[in-house]
Amino acid sequence: MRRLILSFLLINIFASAVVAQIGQAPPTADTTENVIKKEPPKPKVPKSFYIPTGLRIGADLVGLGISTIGTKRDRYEIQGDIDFHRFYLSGSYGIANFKESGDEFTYENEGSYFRIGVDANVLKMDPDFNTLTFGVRYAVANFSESLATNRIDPVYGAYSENFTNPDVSARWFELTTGLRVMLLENLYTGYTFRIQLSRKLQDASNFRSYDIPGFGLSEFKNRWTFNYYIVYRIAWREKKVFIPGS
Amino acid sequence: MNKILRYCLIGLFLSLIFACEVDSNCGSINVDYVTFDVVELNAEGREVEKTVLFDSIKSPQAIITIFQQPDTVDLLLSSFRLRLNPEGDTTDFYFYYDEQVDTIRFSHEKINRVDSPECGIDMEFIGLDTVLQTFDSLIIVNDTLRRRQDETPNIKLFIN
Repeated sequence: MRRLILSFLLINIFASAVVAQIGQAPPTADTTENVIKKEPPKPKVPKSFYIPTGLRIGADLVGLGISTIGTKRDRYEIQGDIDFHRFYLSGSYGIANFKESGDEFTYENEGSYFRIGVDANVLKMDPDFNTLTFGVRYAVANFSESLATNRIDPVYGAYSENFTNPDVSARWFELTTGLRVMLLENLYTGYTFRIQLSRKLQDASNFRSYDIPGFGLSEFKNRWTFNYYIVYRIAWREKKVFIPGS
Repeated sequence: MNKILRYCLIGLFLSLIFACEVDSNCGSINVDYVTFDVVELNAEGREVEKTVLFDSIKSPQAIITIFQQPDTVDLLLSSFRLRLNPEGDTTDFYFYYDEQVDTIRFSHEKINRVDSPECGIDMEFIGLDTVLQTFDSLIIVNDTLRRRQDETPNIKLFIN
């Protein structure tokens, strides 16, 4: 229920943002002028702009926070991207473990995950190379998990069982939007909001998986999450700002 | 640019709706008991409900007798349900009635699922089958143990 309320709040914020940002139509010029004026051809981006200028690598602060404050989950994630003009080849890798227990069970998992994909930056001419990106990801998690149960059946009495899924793999897709803002020279911070879709599991044969590293509870096929990164840009080439007509 | 931004935001917004699945609560559709209907064939060969007075129903795996006269008045039965052994992959039942005893040995698979710390473990019994049985006849109608709205049983027992 908490998740649903949070989801609706997020949808509201999102909707408000859309209306506020792009709901206003640009002021229209005089119609007669529109008819007469012919738009000049769009200037082409020089090929040299597509040569990567640097690598941004960062760590996920949400994962670090969860690992430090929480008792159930440890998650450490690094993220990196490399620029091709306004496009970024992006990837992340994480390791995670999770423990959960109730009156009649103890569950544990341990594994790793990675995501790979591309982002497109919609901030064209920012001199600090702050980025607002939209992207897609393909994600894979490999992990092992175990479940120990200790139950009392009213007819058959007390019993305990142990199950292990040693080599489980999961995959899903993500639609992402992210913001990176420069704090200091080459040091950026920002979030990536992820909508995780179409989760599939393989080789969870001895019991149903409960949690997937990098994804969360496996009872959901689709869910959302976010990361907050601190990122350092290792530049090997000066990145130029493309100004049309210059 | 505005157009691209708009499409990206609308796309994300629509995807977010799909991503907002509601958490499950403790109400699972899986059950841990087999449901039986006792039937006989009438002169026209049609199935009709039959009521049987059982003396007792026992399982060697159980720590208690499942039904025993005169503890309960429920032994005059035409439909009933019996819990399966959650620890093993077989469950035996001995049915004592009319000075005779009939036996069923069920085989089954069980898949555990963690529901939540509050709700505990949810068990899914699948692939219900009979290893042996001594009734006149028996039909497995549903081999997966689930709560059903149409009240069809898992097993039809034919006793003449």
